[in-house]
Formats: sequence, C-alpha cells, structure tokens
Amino acid sequence: MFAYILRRLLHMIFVIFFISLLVFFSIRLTGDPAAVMFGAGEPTAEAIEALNERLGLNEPLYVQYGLFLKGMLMFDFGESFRSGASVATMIFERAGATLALALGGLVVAMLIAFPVGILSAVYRGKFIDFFGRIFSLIGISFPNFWLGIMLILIFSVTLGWLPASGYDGFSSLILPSVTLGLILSGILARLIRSSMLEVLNQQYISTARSKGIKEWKVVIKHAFRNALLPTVTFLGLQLGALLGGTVIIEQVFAWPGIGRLIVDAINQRDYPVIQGGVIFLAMIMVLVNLLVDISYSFIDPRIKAGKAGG
Amino acid sequence: MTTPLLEVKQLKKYFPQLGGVTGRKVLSEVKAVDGVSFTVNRGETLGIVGESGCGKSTMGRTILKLLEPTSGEIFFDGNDITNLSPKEMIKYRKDMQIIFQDPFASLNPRMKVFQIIEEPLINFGVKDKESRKRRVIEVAEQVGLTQAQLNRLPHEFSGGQRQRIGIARALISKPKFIIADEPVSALDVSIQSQVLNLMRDLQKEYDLTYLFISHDLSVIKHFCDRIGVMYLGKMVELTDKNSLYTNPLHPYAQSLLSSLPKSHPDEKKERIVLTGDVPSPSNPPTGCTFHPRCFSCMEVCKNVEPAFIEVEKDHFTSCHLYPNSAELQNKSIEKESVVHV
Repeated sequence: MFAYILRRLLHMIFVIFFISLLVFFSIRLTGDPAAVMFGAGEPTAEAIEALNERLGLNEPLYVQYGLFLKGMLMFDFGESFRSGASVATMIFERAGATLALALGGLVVAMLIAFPVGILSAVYRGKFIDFFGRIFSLIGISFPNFWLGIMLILIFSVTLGWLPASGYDGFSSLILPSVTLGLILSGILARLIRSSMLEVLNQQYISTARSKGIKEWKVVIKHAFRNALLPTVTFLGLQLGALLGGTVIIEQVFAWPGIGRLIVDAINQRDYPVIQGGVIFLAMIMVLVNLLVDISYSFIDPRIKAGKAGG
Repeated sequence: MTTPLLEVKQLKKYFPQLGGVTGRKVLSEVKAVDGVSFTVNRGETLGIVGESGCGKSTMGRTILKLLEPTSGEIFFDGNDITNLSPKEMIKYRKDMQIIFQDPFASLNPRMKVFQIIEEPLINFGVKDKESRKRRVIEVAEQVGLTQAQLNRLPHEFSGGQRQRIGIARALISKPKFIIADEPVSALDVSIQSQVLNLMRDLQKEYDLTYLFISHDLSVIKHFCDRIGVMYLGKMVELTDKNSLYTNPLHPYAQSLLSSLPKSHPDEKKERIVLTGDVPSPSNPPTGCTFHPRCFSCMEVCKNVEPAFIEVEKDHFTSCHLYPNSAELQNKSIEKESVVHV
C-alpha cells in the first residue's frame, strides 16, 4: 500500500512536469502581456521595453522556464504581473471558496441523486422511475448559468431569502451549491440508477431475498453498497473537475474562486497567476484521483490498492 | 395420508415483453412456466430435468416466491402461499430455502463468509450473538468449512467451496425444504460428487426434502427418488426414478434418455436425435408444444394439447400416444372390479 502510494506520487511529479511545460509555453503563444497591460492608448516602445525588463520577459525562454520550475519546487509561483501580490497567496486565498463551492455542490447532488437513483432502479418502469428519469434529463439539459440566474431571481430578488452573490458565510453558499448540485445530480442519478439495476439483477440479491431480509435492507445493504463503486469514481473525478471548472457558476454568483482567478488572469496575460493556478488545479486533480483509487480498497474489499490496476 | 410438503397446481409464470410508445404495452409473453402441477412428499428428492430454457429455474424461483407467479397455486406444508406479500413470506423462508446454480454470482462479494451465513439468523429473530456464532460454526463444520475460513471473502474460495458456503447459508435456519437449482452444474466433475454426497448426508441429518433441478441426467439419476421432465415450460412426464429410466413414456423423455452414455460397450444404444431447435417460449407451437420435433407426431398433436394424466400407477405424462383420461378411468374401474370379484 505504502509503495503503491509512493509510486503514484512519483507519477504525479511527471504529470505536473508535463503540465508545467504545456502551460508555460502555450500561454506565451497568446500575445505580448506588456501590450495588453497598457490597455487603451498607444504605449511607447521604451515603455513596453521597460515593462518587459521589469517582468523578466526579456530573458531567453529557457531561462524563464528554469526560474519558473525552480520557484515551483518551493511552491513559489512568483508575483502577479498586475497586482504584484504573491501568486501562491492569491491561490490559497481563493482555494477555500472554491473548495466550499465544490463540496457544497457535491453534497447537494448526492442528497438529491442517491434517493432518486435508488428509487428509480427499485421501481423500474413505474411512475417513480419515469419521474426520476425525466428529472435526470432536465438536470443534464439545463444550462447551469440559466438555472443560477433563475434561482437568484426567485430566492434573492423576489423572495429576498438568500444573498444573490458574494462569498459571505453559509447563506451565500446555498444558491451556488444548489445550482451546481442540481445539474450534477442529473448525471449522478442516472449513473446510480444504472449501476443499481445491474446489481439488482445479480444472483446474490435473490440470495438475500431468500434469506428473508426486508426489501429495503436488501436494496441498501446488499445492492447499494455494491453499486457504489462506479459512483465513487464519478464523484471523485467530478470533485476534481468542480475545483477548476465552475467558472460559469462563479461568474454568475460573483464567487471568488480559483476558476475565475485563472480566467481573469488569462484575459490580462498575467502569466504567473495562470501558471500557478493551472499547476495547482492539476495537483489537486491528481491527488483526488489517487484518493479515489485508494478508497476503492475500502469500498470493495476484493480490490487491494496497488494490486489491481496499478 | 399426510399432506405433501409442497403442492403446486397449474403454476404459471409469464414474463411480459413490454414495448410501445409508453413502454407499457404488452407485446407478447414469454411463457417460462406454463401450467405445471406436482407434489413433493416429505423426505423425498424430486428431480426436475429439462434442457436449458425450459423454465426449470424460473419454476424453482416462483415456488419460493422470489418471482411472483402469474397464476396457479402453491401450497407449502398445507398453507397456501401463492398470494402472500414479501413481508408475509418472510416467516416461511425459514423453512424453504434455495441453493443457487452459480456459486460465483450468488454470494455478495462484499460480505465475509461469516456474515453471509449468519445473516438469515438475524432476520429470523435469533437475537443472541453468541448462539448465532455457535450455530454458524456448527453449520460451517457440517459443510466442511473451517472456522478460519469464515473470516474470508467469497472470492478467495474455489467453486466447490463457494457452493458449500451457499449450502451452509441455506441450512442455517434449519429448513424443511430446499430447492437446489443446478447446484453442481457450475462445478468440476470431481467436485460435483463431493457436493452431492454432502447434500445427501445433510438430507439425513436435517430431514430435508429436496427439489433438485438439473439438466444432467446422470446427476438426477444418482440423486433423486422421483423425476419430472420439463419441456418448454410444461411438465411432460413425472414418475419415480426406475420407471423413468426403464420405461420412459413421453417421446421427449425417450430422446433425452437415449442421450445418456452407456457404461458397457456391448450395451445396445439407440440414439434418438431430435431435429430442430426448441421453439421460442414466447410463441409456443399449437397443440402439444413438442409436436414439431416429435418422431411420433400425429395429426391430433398439432391441434389438441394433451392432458397431464396418470397413464400407469404414479406415472404421469402428457402425450396423445397414451389413452386419454376417460379411457384410463374406465380401465382403473375394471381393475378394481376384478379385484373385488
């Protein structure tokens, strides 16, 4: 187990290295940050030159990359071109908000999708199943920004129950989490339904029934626990994706998350922030993946981490 | 005469094939079990034989109410259990158990062997943990599992061992009746006899009645007292072991038995090879369902379904080759009068 984790961490170093290459060179194809930073007006060539000199952009590329890598080893991504603040600090300030939103969305999704998916599978072909499938499809088909705006209109503007935007305590977390969770729960409910259906057809479910177990216990104890594996994989991957991919929701709710940080940075050609943000997200993604793989061996005792798959 | 342990009357299990725009229209029905009647007496082993897809396993599961019967009646120990809800069935499950065909699929992969065997006891109300544990260990030893093995997971065992776990699980509540649904067909031949011998020993020890479902004629012959032959959801012949193997009446039974390998090279062997495939149970042939493949097919077979009647004493079959029930009744009356005179 320990050797397995170590091997996976070694993996991670390679992944991060390649991502750093990609990020570093691809953003340098997108234009001159100095020109963008001056924005309106016609900057003089000297002014641009001076700025490039100050930002270290006059150095040869390999020197810049070397400095970037060197800093990365100490989790120092340099300073923002724009604000001059430390990138690492900026990321950590925002990580909390992003994590809160991602977890909030997952919790809402699970609260909705678990019962819907399970009931859909148990009452396959019945009204409940029909309702559940329609619900899933709606969840999948809704544009999430639209849903977010609608929720703001209803609960903030009309009813005035919840704050419309910002990052200020638990009440401000509710609307974005629900928006995210509702969308996610559509796919999740479908996944749970299909894996439940598969498990419910297994013979050991018949065995369980023949043991005289109450039906709900058969469903939860024997079927659901076995149907959990694909669900956990999905949730793990989603958590990774949510940490970086909630830009639209963050935009709608003015949520100060990492996704928005990176998008703003791209618009401003703020190289260090882009690099730091992307590397940070990649690390989180790889770590979450590792955690999911390790969790398999707890969920399914047949899988011993490191033996299966590797 | 005591009541038989199990009595099944005109049992039917149809699976509707749904379709249409709303998915609720019944397009056709697969008649997996189509009007089967028989009884199982206390202490005996009734074998059910038939090729795959003939509805044997479906019948077994329907009798245990793991599937809801479409129609017909099931009496267990004199009680009508046909229309009991799953909740009401729970108290009967203690007495009627099942051993499944596939020992790899029938054990929950995430439960330890101990939990698998113990669980029925919890459900049947044994509250004391210590006495449950004692009982689990007792049953495990009876089926040949060691105490140490109880803490393992099912995937760590071989097929034969897993079937032993399945048997232990079925036995834990001390049932009267066990349906063995092809219990050895997934096992190597060398392991088959071990498991069969185990089942036979346990039959004596627990005073069990078996309904033994199999497609293997040799296993059935070795293990059963009476045998029922099924074809396409129907029972075509039912009699004791000796009459079936020496004097099969139904052409299907005859052809099945002719496929048995003979042990002596000089033994005369006439192989009856059936032509064609088993028809689809969703659209069975008219009249006698066997008539398209039957080597003795008559005109009447194509239109009239033969009744399942007692042709000889305790020897039932459904075939037009044999006198109909009216004639048979006359015969038996004649016999009786002869005796009286």
